[in-house]
Amino acid sequence: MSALITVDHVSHAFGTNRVLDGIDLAIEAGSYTVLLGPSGSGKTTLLSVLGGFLMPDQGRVLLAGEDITSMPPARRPTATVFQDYALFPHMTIAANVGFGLRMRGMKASERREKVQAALALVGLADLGARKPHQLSGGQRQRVALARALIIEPKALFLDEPLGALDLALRRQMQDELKSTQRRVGAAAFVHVTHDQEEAMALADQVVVMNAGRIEDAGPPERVYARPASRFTAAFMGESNVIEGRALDARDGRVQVETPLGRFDVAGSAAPAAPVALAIRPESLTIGAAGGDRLSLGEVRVEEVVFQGSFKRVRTRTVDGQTLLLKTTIDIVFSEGETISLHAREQDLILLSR
Amino acid sequence: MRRRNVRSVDLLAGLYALLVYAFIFLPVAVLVLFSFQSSRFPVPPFTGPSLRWYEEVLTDRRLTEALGNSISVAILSSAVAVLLGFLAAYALARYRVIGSPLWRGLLTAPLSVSYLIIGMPKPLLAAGIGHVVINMPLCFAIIYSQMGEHQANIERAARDLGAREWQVLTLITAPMLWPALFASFFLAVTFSWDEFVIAFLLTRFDTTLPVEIWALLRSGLNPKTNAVGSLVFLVSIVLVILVELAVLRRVRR
Repeated sequence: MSALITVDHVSHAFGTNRVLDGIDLAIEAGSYTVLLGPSGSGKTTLLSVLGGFLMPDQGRVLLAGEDITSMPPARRPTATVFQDYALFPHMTIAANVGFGLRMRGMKASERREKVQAALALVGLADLGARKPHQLSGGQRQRVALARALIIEPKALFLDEPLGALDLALRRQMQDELKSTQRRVGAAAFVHVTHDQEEAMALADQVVVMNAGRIEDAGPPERVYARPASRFTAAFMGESNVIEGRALDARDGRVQVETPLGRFDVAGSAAPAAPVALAIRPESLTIGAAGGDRLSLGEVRVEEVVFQGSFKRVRTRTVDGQTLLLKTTIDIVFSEGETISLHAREQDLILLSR
Repeated sequence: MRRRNVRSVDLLAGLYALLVYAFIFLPVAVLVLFSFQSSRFPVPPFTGPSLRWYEEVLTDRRLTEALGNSISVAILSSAVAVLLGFLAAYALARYRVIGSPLWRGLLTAPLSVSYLIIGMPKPLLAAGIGHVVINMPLCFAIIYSQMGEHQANIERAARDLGAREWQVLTLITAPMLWPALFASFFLAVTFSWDEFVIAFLLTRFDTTLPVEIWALLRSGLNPKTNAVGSLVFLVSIVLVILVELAVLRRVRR
């Protein structure tokens, strides 16, 4: 089965600044894809290319097999939800939502029912007569969503849709987005954000971007558990990255020499290549070694921060490497105390990029 | 001691403000007052009130014709100036035009060019065209200043939903910029309404009100001129208030 949208080696530069650099990406129908990256990583530019607002210097965009690279937004069977919502300030909410149908030549009497249904879908059935400035941020966001969904797009592009909302509302709207996407069914959602929690909560496919390139793409569980690069390991959640060198690689196993010792981990690398091991803070345990636990040596506790459901402990090895760990709240530490750290072999993630 | 100082400073400032306003508005007040004079000369003592001179103004065919000319020239030339200014602003704000700063400069240049240079030998129509030339840069500048990136995004959203270019202009851009269009239209009307030099140089028999008033003044001092002046002033004030309302409403939002 071929993908709904195929991005084929797209590159673009603003002046001398290469904002997209050889992007290849496949987006399945009915899936939720999140483009995740820091500002300036090219994620919004890529969304503009998908929406038709920017024609890339190189490469093609295919939608259901058809080349749409130079097709204007009005003719694309897609819709975009803008970061500032871009509602029409002089029109009522109902007129905003019905605009796409009006442009398609649908009569006012036929539109009314569809507009009501779209407003009901986002929980704003009673607010059709209001103007945008009378609505709260979350409500405006829902209007923008309804306005885009009413034209039944094959793909919906969302540019930091939750960026302007406060944290609590953000989490609530995040859940609403996901359930709306499930109800709509066939449309592919492509969502741009720099919030990795948002990405993990929403995505079927996370695309981690950095400096105009795709660092990693895949299901969030995989990207979190086995990040493909140092950048991904640090950007998708927190990681302890320990630099080292590959000694010997065979049969999908690599011996890695690090300041914390020598470890035998799954993966592949060129002999003598500089590699790194990533360990998630929650994978580090304290106490005695044994069983499948590998010793990482002794560390000094520098700072303990109580975070409600867990404690965040910053420690330092004798070589001066900082290691973060998350522990349950019942363990009591005193600052300056020396503890021994362990991790399971499968929690040591080999990073060769 | 200190309090008293502050109070006397306030008093002085108040007095100063009063004098400034008196300087500006006293002549207007006198003009309006003597338009209600019942005797033949607009000089003290005041002998009114009487509407005699207003009646005379409104029954003078030359004056009412000039009034009609002024109104039609003002409205039509302002409408054309707003339309041209709007289209120019839209083009320069939304498209990458080669030499955009140069075009913007050329468009606003007539603002600083002496009116005398602008001339062409045709009566009322010529005056109308002349007013478009002087008002279009103003309309352009006002409308251009109101076209921000936020509005550009709203236009993008409309295009994304299937709107064609003329639909974006008529259904989205123009209604969104309504206060700016409104303000520039009435400002242009005000300027055209008061404009003398172009109208004087370009018109002969069909003329506008300021030129007719000038002709009236040449035949000597008369409360009739006061009455016409008061009417002109009234119209100007109403227009300025309309502009203020349009602009203030925009700021509050």
